[in-house]
Amino acid sequence: MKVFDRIKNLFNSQNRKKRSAQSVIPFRLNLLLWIVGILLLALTARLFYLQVLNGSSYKAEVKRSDTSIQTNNVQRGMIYDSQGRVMVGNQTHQAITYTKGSNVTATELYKIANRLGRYVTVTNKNARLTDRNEEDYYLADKGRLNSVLKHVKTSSNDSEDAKYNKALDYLNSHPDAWSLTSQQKNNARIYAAMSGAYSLSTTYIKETGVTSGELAAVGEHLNEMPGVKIGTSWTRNYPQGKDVQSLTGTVSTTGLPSDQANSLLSQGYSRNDSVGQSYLEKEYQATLAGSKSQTEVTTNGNDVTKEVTKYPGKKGDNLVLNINSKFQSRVQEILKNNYSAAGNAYSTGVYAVVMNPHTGAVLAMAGIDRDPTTGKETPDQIGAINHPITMGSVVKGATIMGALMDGVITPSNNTLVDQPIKVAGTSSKGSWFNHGGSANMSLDAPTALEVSSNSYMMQLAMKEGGMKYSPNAQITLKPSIFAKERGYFNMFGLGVKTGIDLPGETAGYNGPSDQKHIGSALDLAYGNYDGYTTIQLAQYMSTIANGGYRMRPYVVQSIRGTKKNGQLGKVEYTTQPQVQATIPASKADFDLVRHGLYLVTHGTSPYVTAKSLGTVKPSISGKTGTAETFYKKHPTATISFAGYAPSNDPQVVVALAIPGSTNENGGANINMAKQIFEAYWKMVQSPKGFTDGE
Amino acid sequence: MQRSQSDEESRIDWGIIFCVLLLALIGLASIYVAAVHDRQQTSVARQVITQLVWYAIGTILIVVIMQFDSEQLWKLAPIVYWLSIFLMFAILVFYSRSYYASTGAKSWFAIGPVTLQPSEIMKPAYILMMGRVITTHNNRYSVRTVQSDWHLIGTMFLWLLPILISLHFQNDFGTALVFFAIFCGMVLVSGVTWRIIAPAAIALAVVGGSALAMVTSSVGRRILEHVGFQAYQFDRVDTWLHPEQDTTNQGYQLWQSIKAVGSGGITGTGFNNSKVYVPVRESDMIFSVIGENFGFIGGVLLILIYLLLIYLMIRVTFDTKNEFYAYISTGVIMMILFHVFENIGMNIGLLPLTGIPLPFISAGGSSLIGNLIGIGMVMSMRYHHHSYMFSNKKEFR
Repeated sequence: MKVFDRIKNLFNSQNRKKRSAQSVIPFRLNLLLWIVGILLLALTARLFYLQVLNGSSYKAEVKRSDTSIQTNNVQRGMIYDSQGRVMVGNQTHQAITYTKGSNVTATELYKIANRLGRYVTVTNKNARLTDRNEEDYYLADKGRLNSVLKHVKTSSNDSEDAKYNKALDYLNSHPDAWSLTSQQKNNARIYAAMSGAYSLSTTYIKETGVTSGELAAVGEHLNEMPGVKIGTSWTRNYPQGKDVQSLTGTVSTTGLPSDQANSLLSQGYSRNDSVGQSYLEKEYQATLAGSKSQTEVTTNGNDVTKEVTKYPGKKGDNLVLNINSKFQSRVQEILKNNYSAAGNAYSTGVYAVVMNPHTGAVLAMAGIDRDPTTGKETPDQIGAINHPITMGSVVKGATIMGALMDGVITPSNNTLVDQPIKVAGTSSKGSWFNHGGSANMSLDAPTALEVSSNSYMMQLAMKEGGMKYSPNAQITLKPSIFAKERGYFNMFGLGVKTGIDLPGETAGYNGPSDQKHIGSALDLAYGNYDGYTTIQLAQYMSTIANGGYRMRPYVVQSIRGTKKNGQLGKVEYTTQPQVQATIPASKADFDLVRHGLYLVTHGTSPYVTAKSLGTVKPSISGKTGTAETFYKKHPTATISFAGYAPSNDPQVVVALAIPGSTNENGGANINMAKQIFEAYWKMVQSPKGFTDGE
Repeated sequence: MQRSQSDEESRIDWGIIFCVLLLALIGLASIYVAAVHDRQQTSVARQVITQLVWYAIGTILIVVIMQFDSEQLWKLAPIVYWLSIFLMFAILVFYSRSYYASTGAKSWFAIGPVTLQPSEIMKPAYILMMGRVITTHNNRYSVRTVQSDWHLIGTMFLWLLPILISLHFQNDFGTALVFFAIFCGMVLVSGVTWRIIAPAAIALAVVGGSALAMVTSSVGRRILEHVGFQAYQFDRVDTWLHPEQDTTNQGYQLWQSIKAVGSGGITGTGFNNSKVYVPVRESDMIFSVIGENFGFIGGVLLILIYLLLIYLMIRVTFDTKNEFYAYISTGVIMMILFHVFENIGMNIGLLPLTGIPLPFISAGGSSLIGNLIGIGMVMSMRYHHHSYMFSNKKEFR
């Protein structure tokens, strides 16, 4: 061991004369100790910075982030009719819910999902299972993930996410290499619902159809499945019939509708919230949704240590509609019963609106959408605001009002000769009774309405355009005539959005308005060019009926809270009638037109158009319309009607339209109107106390 | 040969035992806190007891290692080294698939419930071997030249090379850094001339500093991307510099750790009073538990215990005046120092995150065994040094 002794003794200080390794060791070791000291001092300095200088701000940060607000769903507001009947209610279900903790790992989710899957069956009806859901579930098992990863090329540089994506790709491209049993698919649905949830928000695992057996089994094992609870869910029900859905709209059942998700998320909704998807449910979403309960949750790691209810939540407020649900159903029925009499083989639908002319309150809105290729009819109340239709002569009241305001006729001077209108280069256009010119006659404004003279209206348009008519004369109208005519129509609501409190309203459509189409300016005057909605027709007739006030139509009468017993509670908001415009026309002007509308039903001319309405009490004033249309080269017609009653004290306006009729002279429009007025006086308002006549 | 009771006692370095025992207690307490607050598959008691069992195994190893004198250690060095190298390459084939899946590193054997990380055993083995290599070298070249020093450095690096290769394939960069730190520390103490060390240190500082400047500036990054770096490789740097902006994986972990430590304040929140969740705080992020529960005072106390431990180890080296021992203790000191500095540093956002445990404290058997073997080697020095003093046979001249 000579070497060894030497090695040991090399360290001896007596050997330092030699400038050898061991002589530097003490110094280098001291240096090392200094390095140690400096490094540890750096740690201490950093600790000092974090804990002593900034400790309080980190404490505040921790306090802020460790108490979180957990929200829970509340019942959605209901929709009542004007009589307090529930039109759209809520059905309560026992549901299985899951509230995700703040730091739950995928492995834990997988375990809870598998455990819950033993007790609960979630079918495709509850939650649709996508391929991705199945793959995620399959790979949630570490063993399966690893065996899939064996089949794919991964490099050590791949992040866990990249590897996971490769595994997903593999499963996608090898569908035969793996499969889930039906039990696993069940668990996969649960797993998908759980992993889709946000931390500290409650999501439904199974919303409806939870059996008592499932409730008992889950209840017994709640403590094995942290976050799983038995809660309540609600679905919409329709005690007055499901037909109203096409007016009230629907509520999304599996979270936010994907097309609106981003905007709703920015408004503070959670991804799994149910929201109104259409119509009233959508328009009044904020009101109906209520406010979620808020529970302050203090967490420690995964454990919830304290729960304090900060806000108990508030059920959504209820909507009370102007609509009387019984009357609404009756109107819908009337449309249905009389529809085929209109000759509806090529028809695309039938729509009706009943409105209070003094307030704009919509008392009924009915509609049927029809697919002319299959003949299938579906309720489509909302079609009254979003289907533009070429309405025909029904608009002539507005044409005459326009001419009066324009000054081309006056209440005392308004007589013109009904004659076929023939301008150079076009075929002759005439009134329905006088295409050939054999029935030329003098008409004043009321009688022009009575017999529904197209010629009279065309002559008004030419006058407004500054053109003096003589047969075969060159048409000298300028395109500005379109704007002028439309301007007057717009005053009454024809061709502009009415502002009704429902989403998706259309303004109608305008035909081309250039010089090339200048002849159409004449068609426009008698309603055979532009398209209007049924609600516009109702607004127009209301404006005539009430003497010049364009009232905004509205469906929701008031918003009310809920009493403790579940009944309608305090009125939170009442919709005030809103005058959108006042027509700058004299009483004499209105009286002239109203007289004409009275003559339409009560006139004595052989050409009177709605004679059968003349016998109805209280008396009806109104106007029919027929517009020539085509459906795949088949000649069809829109038949329409707009009118009010009683004639001398209008209380109710009815507007309806049947596009695509093949029986334009069958009187389906008049029969429908008659029955609707009768139903109104029977079901909504008593006809007593009104004097009859003009 | 008769030894009195007091002789026996003075041959045992009670100071080191005291420090390690203190660290063990802090470790067990911290693991308990982490286990209580994080829902795990294994129970709290089981996690704490597992760690306790590893301490017991480590203690037995210390006692065994203390039986070897320097001569025997000298002979053992190559055997242990090559055995460890064998394990380091066997792991590349027989690594635990499930650990690989969860950590991305092929560093663990799994035999039933017991896992073993050969690189932790490799550390003391490399230290021992380097002690022998340097001593042999210095004995051969009694007159140092720059050339001989380069020769020494080259030799040391050659012994390091297979380890680095294995670590590369294990995908364990953090451990490679530990070996590099050990290598540097041993080069320093081996007596290599300043004419090499000083330029190397400066070069390292310049390269490190400019690399840091490059990755932290957008201009630098563009240059790096131009020479083939990928944008995602900067993620780790971003996470380190702005943990609060990255709420995903590592950034979340780091930010949670910083919040936990910061919220501990001066005095801490008190034992077992953890409010901030830090992922894997039972092992790599264990300092966040100590920082949160015991505050600045507790953190500084812990650092002082490490400082005391390192000081005591250096004192042993001075006391024993044995070159071979000096290199071994330097290696052990560097191993512990680097672990402490990197681990605490990453917990408090001073250094980027790497998978390096806190010596004697973090849960995990392999690392504990590796460090306790190191302690065992240092303790054997004093134990046998005294035997030379009192046996006439091996006295100083």
